[in-house]
Order: sequence, then C-alpha cells, then structure tokens
Amino acid sequence: MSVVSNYDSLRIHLYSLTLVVVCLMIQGELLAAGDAIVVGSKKFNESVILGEIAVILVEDTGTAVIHRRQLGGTQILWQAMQRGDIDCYVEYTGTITEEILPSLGINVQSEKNEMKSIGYLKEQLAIHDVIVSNPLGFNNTYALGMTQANAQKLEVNKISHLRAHAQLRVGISEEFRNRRDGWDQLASRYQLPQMRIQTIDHDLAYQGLQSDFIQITDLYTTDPEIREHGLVTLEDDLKFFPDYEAVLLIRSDVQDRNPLALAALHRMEKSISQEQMIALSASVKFGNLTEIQAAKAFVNRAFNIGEDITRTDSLQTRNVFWARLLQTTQEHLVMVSISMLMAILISIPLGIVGQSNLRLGTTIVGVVSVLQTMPSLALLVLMIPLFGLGALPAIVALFFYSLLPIVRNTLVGLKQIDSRLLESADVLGLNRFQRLRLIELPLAMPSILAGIKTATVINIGTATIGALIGAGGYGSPILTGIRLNNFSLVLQGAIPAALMALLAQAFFVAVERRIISPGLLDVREER
Amino acid sequence: MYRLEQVSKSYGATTVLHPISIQIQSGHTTALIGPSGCGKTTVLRLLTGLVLPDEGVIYFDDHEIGKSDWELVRQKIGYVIQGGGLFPHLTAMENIALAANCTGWTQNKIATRIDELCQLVRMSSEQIMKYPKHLSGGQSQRVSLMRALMLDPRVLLLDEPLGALDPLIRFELQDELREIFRSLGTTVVMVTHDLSEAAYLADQIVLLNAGHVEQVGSPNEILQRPQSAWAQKFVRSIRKVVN
Repeated sequence: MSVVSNYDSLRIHLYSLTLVVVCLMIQGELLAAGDAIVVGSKKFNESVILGEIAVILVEDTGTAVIHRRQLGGTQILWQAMQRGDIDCYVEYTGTITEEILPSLGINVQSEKNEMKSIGYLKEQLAIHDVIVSNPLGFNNTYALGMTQANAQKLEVNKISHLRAHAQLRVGISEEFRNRRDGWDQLASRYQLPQMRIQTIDHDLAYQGLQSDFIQITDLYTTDPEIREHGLVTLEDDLKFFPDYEAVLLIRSDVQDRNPLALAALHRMEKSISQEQMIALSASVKFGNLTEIQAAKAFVNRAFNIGEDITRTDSLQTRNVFWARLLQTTQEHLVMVSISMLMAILISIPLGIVGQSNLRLGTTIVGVVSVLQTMPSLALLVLMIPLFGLGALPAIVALFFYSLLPIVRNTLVGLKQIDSRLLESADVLGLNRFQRLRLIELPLAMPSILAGIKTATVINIGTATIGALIGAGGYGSPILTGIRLNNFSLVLQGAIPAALMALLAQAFFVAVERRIISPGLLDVREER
Repeated sequence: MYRLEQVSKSYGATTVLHPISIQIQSGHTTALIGPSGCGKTTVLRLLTGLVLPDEGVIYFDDHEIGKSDWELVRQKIGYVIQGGGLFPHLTAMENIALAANCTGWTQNKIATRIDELCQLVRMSSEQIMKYPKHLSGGQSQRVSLMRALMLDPRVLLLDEPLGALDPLIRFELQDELREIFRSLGTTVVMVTHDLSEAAYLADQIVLLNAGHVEQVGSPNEILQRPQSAWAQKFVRSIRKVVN
C-alpha cells in the first residue's frame, strides 16, 4: 500500500545521499598527503605570511608541504600540534608564557625574568616534544592604540593616562579579553576605570576606531594598520606586556622524519626585522600582493632562493572564481550534509525514546540543550584533541548543534497526537512498531520535518566556523576577507551560504510534499 | 460472550466503577446507557483491554482474560471510538485496510472485503478514496464502521457512534445501523446517552448510574418497569423529550 511506499522512497534517497557524501569525504581525505610537513598559521596576516615563508623554505628541500592556514587561535594550533595534525607554526614568546605554559599547568611568575628566557621555554616545551626555535628577529607585542585625533584631544600617550577617561569605549579581541596577559589583568594593574568593554574581531577593530564606535583597542605592534591609519600606540609605562618574540614551534619528531626540513625551518631564525615584518604585512593588506607573492619576494631577497617557485594559492591567487566556489561549496556541503544526516539518524530515535519515558525525555532534552549553548570556539577546541583538524571535528560540533531542534520537534510531534488515535491503533491490533511506523511517525512528520528544516538552516550558517579548524567551506573566504579587509571575498562566502540555506528550504518544501500525507495539510496548502 | 464479575476501577481517589457484574449475550445488541460520568465508556474500554480492571475478572467465551490474552481477544473485536478516530494521514480506504494489511491479507482479499463493506454501509468506491477531512460526519462514521468490521469481528464495540451528528443524519443512520446489526448477527455493545436510540437498536439495555448497575433488561422492561426511584427518574426524563 502507499502508506509504506513513501517511506521506502525516502529511505532510498537517504542512502544515495549518504553514498555521495562519503565519496566526497574520502576524496577530501586522499588529498591530504602522507608524510608531508604540515605548517600551520593563525588567522591574521602576519601568521599566514610567516607560514608561507616556512612553506617555501621547506619546499626548497624537495619536501612536500601542506599549509593549514588561518586557523582559529592559539589553543587550536597548540592542540593540533600536540596531536600531530600540524608540525610547526609561528608562535610568540609572550603567548607561550601566558597561554600555553599555564594550560600545561606551569604558572610563570611575571617577576621572574629567567622564566621568560628562550632557554627556559625550550626546556619546558621539550618535555612536550616541541622544539622552540631561536627568535625570528622581531617583537610583536601587544599594545593599546587610539586614533591620533582622540589621543591629541584627550592628551593621552601612556596607558596610565587612560585612568582619567572612564567614558572611552574599549573594543578588544576575544583572545585578548580572555588571556592572562589580557584586558582584565592590564586594567587591574593600571587601575583603569573603563566599563564599556566590547569584544570585536581584531581586523574589524580598525574600522571600529575609524568610525569612533570604539576609542581604544588592542594592537599587535607589527600591524601595518598602525602606520596606515596613523594610530598612536600608548606607552606601556608600567611594563605590563611581556615580550612577544616570534619563534617557530616545531614538533621534535620532525628531526627524525625530515632533518632537512628542520634545518630549513631554522633558517628563519634572526632573518626578519620588525620593519621587514611590517612591510610584508602592509604589502599584503594594502599593496596588492598575495601572501604567497609577498613571501616569495622576501625569501628571494633574504635567502636567494625561490625564483623557480611554482607554488600557487588555492584560495587566493588562483584567480578562478568558479573553482574556488566549487571547492568551498563542496567542503561546506560535506560538513552540513554529514552532520545533518547523523543528527537526523540520532535525534529521531532519541525523540521517540524520550516520548515513551518522561524522565528519560527530560534528561535527553537537558543534555542536548546544554550542547546547544556551548560557545562554538570552545566546542571546537574540545574537539581537536579527539578528532584533529579538518572536516571531522567541525562535523561533530555541527552534529551537536543540530540535535536540539530535531529531538524537541520529534518529542512535541509525538506528544501532540490525539491519544484516541493511538487507542484505535491498539485495538485494531497494530503492534508497537507498526503503530510507530504507520501511525505515530507519519502524524508527527510535519513537526519533525520542521525541526530538521530549522536545524539545517542553523547548521549551514554555523558551518562557517569550520574554517577556524581547517575544514574550509564558505567560512574560508569570509575569514580571509575579514583578514585582508576585502569585502568582496567576504561576500563570496556569505552569499553562497545564504543561497545554500534558501536551497535547503526549497528542498525541504519538496520533501514535505512527498512524505507528508495530503490528509494532514491545511486546506489552504492544498493545490 | 463477555462476562464481567465484580469488576471495579478507580483513577486515583476517584472510583469510576464499584464492583459490577454484567453479562453480554452472544449475537445480541447491548446498549450501555446512563448519564455522563456513570462509567459506561469505562465498561466499554474494559471490554477492549484499553483499561484493565483493578479487581474482578472479565471472561471472553467463558475464558478468563489475562493480561497477555488481550492481543488475541482484540483480533476478534471491532471498535469504533467516539468521534470515529479515523487516522487523518490515511485515506478512508487506507484506514479501512490498515489492520488487514498489518495482518498480511492479500490485496485481492482486501479489495473484495472492502467492496462488501461498501455495499453494507452504502459508500461508493470513489468516496473512500478521500481523506477523512473531506468526509462528512455521516460518511466518517460509516468509514469507522467499515474499519471496525474489516476483519469480520465477532464483537463490535461502539462508543457513542452517532454522538456528534445532526438529528436528521442521526435518524437515518440509526435505521442503517439497525439493519446492519440484524444482517450481521454479530454481538454488539454500544455506549449511548440516548434512551430512545438504545431502545431502538438494542436487545438488552444496561442502565448505569455513578459506577453501579442500576438495572438490566430489555428495552420494554426498562421503559415500562424501571425498578428504582433513580431509574424511574431517568426513564421519565427521557420520555418527556421523546413525547
């Protein structure tokens, strides 16, 4: 009978979808080569450029190199390196003492200068099988900055001057807000009175300063924007900020796996001055060079190699709009469809179980609600030790985020069924499974599908965070666009994501027409 | 067919049925009647196993029905709940065929049986292609009846089968039901609050009041010789309306 056939066809659709998705995934995994050296970088220009320099130097030894670019933050990179997903990345000594060592249970007392020496850091990280290189040659410390106009008007040129200006609005990066050497400690050391503190993406903070939305922000002293926008960096008159000497962190096993690569990486030591670093960043952000072009030019000048470098950038220099769109769409689709598929397969049974047992139902909804409220970055950081970088941890995180709408709508859909209908089914002699399959699920289907629809739309938007952990997707052009202040790149991620959400909506409308019985549609919905 | 012996039922502190004993005769139509809250629907639900007695025993064909026997008993029951209880996501035909499909009847056998039933309740094969929301009240009741009769049950249980219908259709369907009950020769137990309907359709009337059996008898006995003061009052109040 037709009661059954709708579900069979749906099942076939689901199977074929799974197959396609799995193929896409396998293809993606094969692209990641076996014994290549993997360089990581954080999601700001300097880190990406330095990553490219490291890539070119290692490639020059004939080694295959992969660049996992613009990843989400210190903890993500550190965790990924501990797990072996990346082999090296550029870190800053201050970040090691203030962020990484404390996360390993080592508290560095700020008075003890010997605990900030390179030698000490080398010793400590060696325990965790990480080599700390000698400094690369520049110091990129934190500073507070203001526009020239505001600084002159308020006569501020030292951080301690800020005590007199409580009304100023402060916009700081998420990381700076939470770090041990971040805002809270700084404010208490300087007795700063400012109350209006805003978290804002570092690259957007410069626009915030220009538009006077914020008056103070945290700066990296090698940011080229300081010069470009004529910002004033306030003197750290109480010497709060430690040094942030750039160094390479390298997994010690690189020594055995590829000593030539290790030697190539060490060539970066003492090779880049503060001025050079600022100029490199400026050439990418304000000149028209890509990170690779800038890195090439630098390597060419400094090491006299790189004339024959053929390396091109998958996301940027390759001026193939459609190829990039295809790649990010594929990555995005893999994340969304696998996570949604898993969420559907798990949530509906959870909803069914939850409906049949009230206490269990409350527990299930409680747990998935807690998952829903986890901040995405925190969830990603938790995922990395388990699943490493790439699509998998993003898929698991998205899976968690998709559970609640489906579980709850399944529960509600089943609960809403008129108990007299269930009694009819019982007396007609339907067993538990027949009743569930032929009566309860079809009757709850409008609600369940609505839940799936909601979850999918949220999922498509949330999947942009995948870019923070190297999963690609529409988040990559958005991250790059924000980093380079390139609005069209941001749109190249945002518009397809919006379109995908619309297409998903249309898809589910079609699915509804197929699997929701016409008998359940409102009269006005009928054609 | 059915025998209830000293069966009682309470929901929390509310006693719905004090220990009662009722006998349902095979091949006859029995009407359970009484005011709202008298326990008549609970008695019907006890006969389906949807409600289990707190105390007392229910016999089916002189066999005591244990908890695990209900599955078997239900195969011999056709049940029409109040309001019809048609599944809105299935067409009338799918509603009717559902139990047969789940039992594994062949499509031929199902089609033949549905044709028979269509003739019995005067429905056309076009009408049963519709979804329940497109059926009139009278048609819905007919379809519910077809669904209940599909597996040719030995007992037909009806809960206010004509409850929500307007008087004209109700009048018409009462005639049809009487004809159907007579022609099938099945045991019928129906719940109604309308004494004239009970008198018209039933061979035996069980008059219930506040969880007790007030009187059992043929329609004539109940109408002519109400035994208690309450039964007299009940019969009189109905008579006023009838006259």
